[in-house]
Amino acid sequence: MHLPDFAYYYSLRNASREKVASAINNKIKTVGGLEAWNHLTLCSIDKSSIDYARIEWPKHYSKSGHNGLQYSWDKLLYRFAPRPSYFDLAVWQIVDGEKVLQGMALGKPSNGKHHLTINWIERSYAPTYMKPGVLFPILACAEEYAKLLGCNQVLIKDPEDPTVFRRYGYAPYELRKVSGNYISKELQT
Amino acid sequence: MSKTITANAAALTVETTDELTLAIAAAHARVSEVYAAGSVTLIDTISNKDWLEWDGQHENAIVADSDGLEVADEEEALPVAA
Repeated sequence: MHLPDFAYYYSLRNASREKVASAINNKIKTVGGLEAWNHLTLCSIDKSSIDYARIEWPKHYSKSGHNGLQYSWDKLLYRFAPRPSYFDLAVWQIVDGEKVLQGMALGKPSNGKHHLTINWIERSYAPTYMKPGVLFPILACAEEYAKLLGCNQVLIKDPEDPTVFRRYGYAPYELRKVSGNYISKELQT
Repeated sequence: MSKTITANAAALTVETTDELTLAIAAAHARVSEVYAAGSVTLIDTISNKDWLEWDGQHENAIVADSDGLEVADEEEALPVAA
């Protein structure tokens, strides 16, 4: 790993999270919604979030119909981390004094930085799940990171339910020479 | 007077630049460049009414890449013409 490259892209990821955090805080101040968004942290996927997903999330799988991703987050991060420009996000929230992991996401930009693709998202199905849902902060951070990279679009690869992403501005998108189902959104810089 | 000049010159000859600090500085410069003209986040595009009523509790937010652990170097895949 070339540490300066990692530091550069980590700084951009962090800046994207700060931009979104600032926008959320401003919305709370001017419009409201404190209860839904209070005590939220937007940060990197790390050992604590990987452990939480492995130990806590499965406790609520059977009720939801979701039985986990095919791969552990440990394995997924291991595959993405060698590329310094990868996108990652863990969404934590303090609920009734307890730290709860609401969701995680992983992705990567294309080689020429034309687009950023989100490849993996998983959410909590615990009763403590945040009312607005994790897609809002995940997509917001992905879009800001993509802007900082100079990308024109954000793609989502293989969402289980593409229609859920419509209200966030994502529409079906066909690509030649690649497998998978994509939806996309053009970025306004 | 000469002692002051010497002391000031000495103060400027030691600094801490390395590849990491340059990389972080470059990132900060990039952030400033992109956000200089202002930027609208996804959060900002939501109406006040929608913001207060937004409910994502039942969203199927799952995204699971069908290529699994294959994180291939992606070509600049071309969109299919509409």
